Amino acid sequence: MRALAAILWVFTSLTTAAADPVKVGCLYPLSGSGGLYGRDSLVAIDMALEDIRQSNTPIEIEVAVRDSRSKTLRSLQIARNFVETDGVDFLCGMVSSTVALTVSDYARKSATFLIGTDHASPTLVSSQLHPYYFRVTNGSRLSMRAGAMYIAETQPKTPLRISFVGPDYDYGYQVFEDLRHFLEAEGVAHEISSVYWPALFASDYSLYIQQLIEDAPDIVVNAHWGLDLVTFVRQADQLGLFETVQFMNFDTGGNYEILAELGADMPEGLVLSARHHLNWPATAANDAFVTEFHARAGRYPSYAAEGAYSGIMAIAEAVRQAGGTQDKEKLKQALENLKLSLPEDPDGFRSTMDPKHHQMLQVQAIGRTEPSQAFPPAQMILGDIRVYEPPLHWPDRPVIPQQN
Amino acid sequence: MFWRHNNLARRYMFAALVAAIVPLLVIAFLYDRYSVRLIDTISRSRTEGEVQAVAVRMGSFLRAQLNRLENIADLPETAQFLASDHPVMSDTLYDFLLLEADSPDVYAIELYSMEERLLATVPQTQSPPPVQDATTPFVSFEQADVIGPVLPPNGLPGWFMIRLPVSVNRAELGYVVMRLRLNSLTEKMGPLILTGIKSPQLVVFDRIHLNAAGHRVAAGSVLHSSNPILPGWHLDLVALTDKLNDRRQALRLTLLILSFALVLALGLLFFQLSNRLTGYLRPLKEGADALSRGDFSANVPENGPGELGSLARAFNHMRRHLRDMINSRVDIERRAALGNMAAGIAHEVRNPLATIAATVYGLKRGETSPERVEMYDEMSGEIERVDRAIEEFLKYARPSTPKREPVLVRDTFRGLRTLTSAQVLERNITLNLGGDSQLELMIDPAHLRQILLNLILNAIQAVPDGGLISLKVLHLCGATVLTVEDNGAGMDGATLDKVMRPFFTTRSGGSGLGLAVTAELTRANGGYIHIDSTPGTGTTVTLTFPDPPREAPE
Repeated sequence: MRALAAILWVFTSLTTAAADPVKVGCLYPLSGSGGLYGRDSLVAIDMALEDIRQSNTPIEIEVAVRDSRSKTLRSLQIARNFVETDGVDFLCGMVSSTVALTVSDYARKSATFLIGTDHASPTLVSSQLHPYYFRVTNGSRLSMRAGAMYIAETQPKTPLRISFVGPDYDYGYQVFEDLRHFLEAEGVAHEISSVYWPALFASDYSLYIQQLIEDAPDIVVNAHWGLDLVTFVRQADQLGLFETVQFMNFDTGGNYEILAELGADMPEGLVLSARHHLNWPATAANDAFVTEFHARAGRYPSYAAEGAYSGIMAIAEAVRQAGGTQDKEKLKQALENLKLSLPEDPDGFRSTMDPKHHQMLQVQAIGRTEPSQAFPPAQMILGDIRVYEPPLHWPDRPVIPQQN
Repeated sequence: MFWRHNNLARRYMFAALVAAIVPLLVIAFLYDRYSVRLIDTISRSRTEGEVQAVAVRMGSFLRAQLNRLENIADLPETAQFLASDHPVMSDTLYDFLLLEADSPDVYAIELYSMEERLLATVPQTQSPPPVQDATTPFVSFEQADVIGPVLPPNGLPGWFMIRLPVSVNRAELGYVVMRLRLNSLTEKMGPLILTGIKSPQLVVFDRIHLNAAGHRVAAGSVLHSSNPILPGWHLDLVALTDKLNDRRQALRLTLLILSFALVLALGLLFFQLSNRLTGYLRPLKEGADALSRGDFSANVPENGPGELGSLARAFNHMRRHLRDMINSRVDIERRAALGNMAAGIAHEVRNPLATIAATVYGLKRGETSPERVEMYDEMSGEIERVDRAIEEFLKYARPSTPKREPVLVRDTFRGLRTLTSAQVLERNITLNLGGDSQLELMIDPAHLRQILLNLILNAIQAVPDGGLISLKVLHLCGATVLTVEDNGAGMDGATLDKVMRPFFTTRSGGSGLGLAVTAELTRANGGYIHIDSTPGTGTTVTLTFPDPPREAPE
């Protein structure tokens, strides 16, 4: 199986010959339902290495990417191999929070830095946090904080009847708990009408969509991602859910992958967000990132691309500040105090690492789908965008005990 | 009574209506009775089969999880781990458990000591389960125990556990537990959902009822129950409302109403048809009644459809034919009688009158008394008047056989103008002659003169002083048409009906034979006469003489 894993070794050019190259082992799904995330990440990693090579202080970085297929045991074995055989300095990547939790646990045991890029569960930066784990993309907690603020601003009805439907694993539970917490914090008079937990990677959501239609809430907050969300939106549209209910997905719904995959099937007026948008912020850096990616790949990037790009840029910056990879304490301090200018940052804002929780704090932009031919094959893009800056500190709160 | 007092059309329609409605009602009744029972039987049988099939699938799912649990329990590493006083999980065991746990159906795999102390959880990131209370369902499943289902109060998904003891040489070392996603079980009930009508429920110990989405729901009216999935676990299919039955009853009612509406519509249709048929037949009956009374003028409308129209036309044809035949017969008999009477009058009256006239003339010649001479003149005058009347009557009763020859109508018109000029001048009447001056008519010239003279004299009598009389001749549509028109007093309808009868007159001193003779002479010359008259406006008499058939060229 290992022979089948897609491997990418990329070398930056050396301007200083002294130091050993920094070794990074990334785990992304390159095939299966999340395969596009990994393939986009490959392109973005290449772009990051190119940017590092072109910078004033270039660093030699070797990046290996292997296909995790979003399988827990397979990912653990790949991580072990990276650390124990290849001797990587950093692990990175992982789309699924379940996979990330297992690999993060191994990173803790093996004292290897793990730079999380695409998974979003707060568990990794709270109850399961350890000194070697850092996440450089917005987690779902900040997404839900922004989502609750969006609801408070745009939904005057009281009490607001809200239903929740999300994937049945840690990410979904955390999103739901964060939604409830921040709705309370924002003072939104609401009641939770119903909560549903379809299985992750399910192929049929009609049972739950019918239940949602029967419940007739004002808002359905959804926490699916990837192909699950595409399937859900298609089935919900066919069954008529969007005719009576305002659909919202604050963490992943605005991902370009979703917009492109649904194409003309994406309904207008859905409230969505993502960790990176093609049309926001309208900065030179974001435009250059999107344009360069399109030139290399022939398609527009999903948010996973910008996440992977951020991960490599974070590693490079941390190594630069720590003066190499030998002193893990210095590396840890550098990562804890990391500040980066990333494509997703609006003018005047820099992505900043929360030193206590190892979670990058970034701006969240929420909008509504509206017709646009700007980024084909997507037929919709987010418009009417509202922007929510992160708090100074990552909002920790007592973890509600999981019961499964 | 109904049958006897109705006409054939109504009876026929009623019979047809009964023939149509009775089978319809019978079929509707049978359909209602048997289809409802059939639908009930089929749907119950099918639903029972589906409920059992889902229950079997749920049992198979549990069996598959137990198999996986047995594989874990059979691993030597599992036994070693549980047997150790200070258990440390090997990578091999961890990877194996991780592989088994890498399923959307499995939340975690846990290892417990015999004292039910949690020793390990895979994935390790999963938090330990809360302590079950005494009300948590607990049943045996082959060698294993099934604990749960447990539904967290905070909206998080429900779960249940399968617990299998691990033993070596019959010595139990601990337990291996699989914590499973409850929705993986309940979702299998999805195909049984009929939204808003019926819903499946997973029932545990008759106190926990779960819907397909894994939510706890109230018990309902049970339509079908499955065989047990586990001891105390079974599947119920409950009616959410009586909507299904309501819909079926509504359908039945709709069909019944439709059937009755159809019966009513058929009744109305047949009643309407019957009325229409009667409407077409009634004039025929009335016409026949009129005919039997000798009234040949009752015309039957011929606008009936198909055979009814043909029947009405045939009836009218028969009526006209019969009228003409009877009229002809009466005319023949009348003429025969008149002829005989005329011969008798001519012989028995005219001859004595001639004798009386000659005698009176002789007496007058020998009479010197002026008074008696005057009386003889009176007598001679009356005798002449009687003789003229007899002459008129003879002309009518025994008209002379026409000697037809080409007659230039213009010449006849002029002759008549000259003949009547004295009376016309005396009363200042205008007599116009018009039309085609070259027209020739094949007719007896004496008859034509007599005909027109009668009509002109009638017109002179009818018009006031200074009145207008027009004679016109035209050739129209294959006939020579002569009209005598005056602006006199005219006649009403009753007079017009009788004016052609012999001895009918409106003038004192008139014989009442002028128009009868005119009509007779016209008919004798191959023509026919028609009179239009309006009281106060005038009268127009039209004589039409069809052209004689042309002889085929040799």
